[in-house]
Amino acid sequence: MSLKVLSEKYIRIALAGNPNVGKSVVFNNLTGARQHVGNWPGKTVDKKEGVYKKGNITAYIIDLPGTYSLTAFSEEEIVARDYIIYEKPDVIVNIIDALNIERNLYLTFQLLEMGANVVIALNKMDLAEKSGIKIDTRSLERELGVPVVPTVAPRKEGMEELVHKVVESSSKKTSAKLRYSPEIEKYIERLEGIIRSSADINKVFNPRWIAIKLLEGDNDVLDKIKGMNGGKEIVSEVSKIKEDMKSELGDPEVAIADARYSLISSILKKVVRGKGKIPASDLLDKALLDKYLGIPIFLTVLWAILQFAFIGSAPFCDFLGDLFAFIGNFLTGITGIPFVDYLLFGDYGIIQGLGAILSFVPLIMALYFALSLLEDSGYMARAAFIMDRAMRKVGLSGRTIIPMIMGIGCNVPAVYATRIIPDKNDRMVAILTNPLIMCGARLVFFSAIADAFFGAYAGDVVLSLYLLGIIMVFVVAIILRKTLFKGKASPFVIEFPVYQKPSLKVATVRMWDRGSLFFKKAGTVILIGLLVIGVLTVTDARTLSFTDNPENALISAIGKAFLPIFAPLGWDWRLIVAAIFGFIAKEIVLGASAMLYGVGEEEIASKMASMYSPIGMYGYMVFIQLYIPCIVTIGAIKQETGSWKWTIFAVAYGIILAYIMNFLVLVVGHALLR
Amino acid sequence: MPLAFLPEGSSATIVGIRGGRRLVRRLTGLGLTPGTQVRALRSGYGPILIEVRGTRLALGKGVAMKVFVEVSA
Repeated sequence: MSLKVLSEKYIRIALAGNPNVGKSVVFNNLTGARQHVGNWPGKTVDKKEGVYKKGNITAYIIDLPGTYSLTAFSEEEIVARDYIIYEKPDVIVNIIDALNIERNLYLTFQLLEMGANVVIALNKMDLAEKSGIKIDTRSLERELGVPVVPTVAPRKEGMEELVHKVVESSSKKTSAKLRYSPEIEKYIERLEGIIRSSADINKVFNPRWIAIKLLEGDNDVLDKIKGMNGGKEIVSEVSKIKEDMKSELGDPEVAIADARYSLISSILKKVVRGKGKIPASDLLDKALLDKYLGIPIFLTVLWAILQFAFIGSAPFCDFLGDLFAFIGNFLTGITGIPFVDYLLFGDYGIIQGLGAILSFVPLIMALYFALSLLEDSGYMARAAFIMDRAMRKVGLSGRTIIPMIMGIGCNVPAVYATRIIPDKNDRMVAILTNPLIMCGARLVFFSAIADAFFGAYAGDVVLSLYLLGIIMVFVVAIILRKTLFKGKASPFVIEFPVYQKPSLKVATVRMWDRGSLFFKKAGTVILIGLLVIGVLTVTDARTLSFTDNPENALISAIGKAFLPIFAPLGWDWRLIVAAIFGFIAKEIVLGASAMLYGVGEEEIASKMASMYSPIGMYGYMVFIQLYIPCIVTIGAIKQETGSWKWTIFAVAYGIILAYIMNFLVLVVGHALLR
Repeated sequence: MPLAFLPEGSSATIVGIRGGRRLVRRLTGLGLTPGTQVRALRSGYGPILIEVRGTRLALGKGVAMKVFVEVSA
């Protein structure tokens, strides 16, 4: 896994390409297990790095985010182009979808404009041939002035040739000379000439590229050069040239895009024969997007995914839970100091808490795995399409449906899955509302309690809590959209990739990366949380020394202190404390209440049934359903929002909402029964 | 007329996009520029699905109202 095998001399390669072109597969082919996934500093964009090593060739490979363009449109695009500008990789491998060559070359052209050393991997060649598209790679090479290697990534075809070409071009600079129509070139050259006179800017940037970007009105590039030597003169010239350009050609940005596309068309006329038709994909779309069948099919797919995740992960989850219980019990007494002993190994100590959290990791991984398959297959875009209309009504984008569904398994991967939502505000609303979806851990508590209180209606009661969660997502989303994140959901634009068989290998790698990443990232928050709860549980409230009875501990004192607030809900202090424990992981509420009431986990439900009315208990369940996210989810929220403010907001509004809803249940419930 | 009203199965040419800088930039990257041929694969209900430059794109109703097309004969 280590990247430290890099020797003194190595080639630095960056992979660039549109989304859905098979970039991840190429990356995996080249790096194998020698890869590392992280975040770009300060961004919520994945950073994947790896090492290629074969014979005497060593290369450092970075997988840039998949983008359609290199403007300043999104975080991904800025990350990708800043890397190319400032890190200056030796070679950029531009992966192109042969089925979709026209649109893909738009990005290629922008890479070439930057003066980058490009090698093209023309991927999905098998599918292109099958669909009747013939591409003459030699003449494409001639037209573009850079090497083109045909590949079929899933079968590893063309990989050796690709590496060979990369090594070749790493030692010599390819000189691709794309020239657009004379009407456009005249303006580019005019500005380029002025830029060339600033030595400072020339040192860092390619002057032609800067000229094009400034004409396009790229504010990010403008900011970059403004402060540099000669920047001011350039900026004042830009507006003059743009005015001239506008009066002749219309909007400069559109004119330049037009110039790229017309050059692409004229090149493709010489290079490509045949028009692609993919009958299987057409047929699938007809069924999956059907006006009446579309949504039922979508729900069935989701149901299957959740079934797979729950059933497939159950043995591993149980095993991990048991393992930690065993370790905890086995090590109890080993330190000889009761305080430390209970803190580490006790029933609510750190080891058991970790066990409770870790036992959800297999479920999380199974969800990642299934999600990756869904993403690769091309169905995800269709799902967003189907749901967009309904989601838009509450101010969410169609893509939000994916994290919402994941939340039914676990809110943690769901919060990370919001990365598929491009707009920042859309994404924030999706993150902040996600914990309201009932996760698998809450289900554990609800099923046990509902059984004892509601007997034959237990299933309906749990279902009602599910629905309540979803309704609350919509309600809170609408409110957030009207207040803190004003405006409508961003325009919905999504590409429909051609359906394809998903790669099990990519899914496995992604599952592993994500599963371990969230632990690395959320680990600190989890440990602090466990430590705080642990100390509160083993410290006597009066003497501040060790106690083995949670009833006398600080945590109970806190529970009792909050009693006046929760008394209107009819709780006693034990329910408060159990809810606090639920902060670690929601399923702990069950065990914690059993301990506090001094009964076994099997009897806790009936014990509660003897103490609380069904309405009172239903209120408590509603509270547990809606209140704070668990520690791990909070860690995920912190990481993905990048702000403590929003993390605290997520916790605070949850508690307030839960309290209000609990209270409403009591009021309405008693009114109905009277 | 707006792309949103393009009937299913018919083709048209884009004549302009009336939206902010960001939207234009986004759509340009996806190949929607004036003069481009598009075909509606699905329209009428919710978002519209079009074929453009050999790819399929789904556009929300709001976006499709800002893209103006001329139906080709």
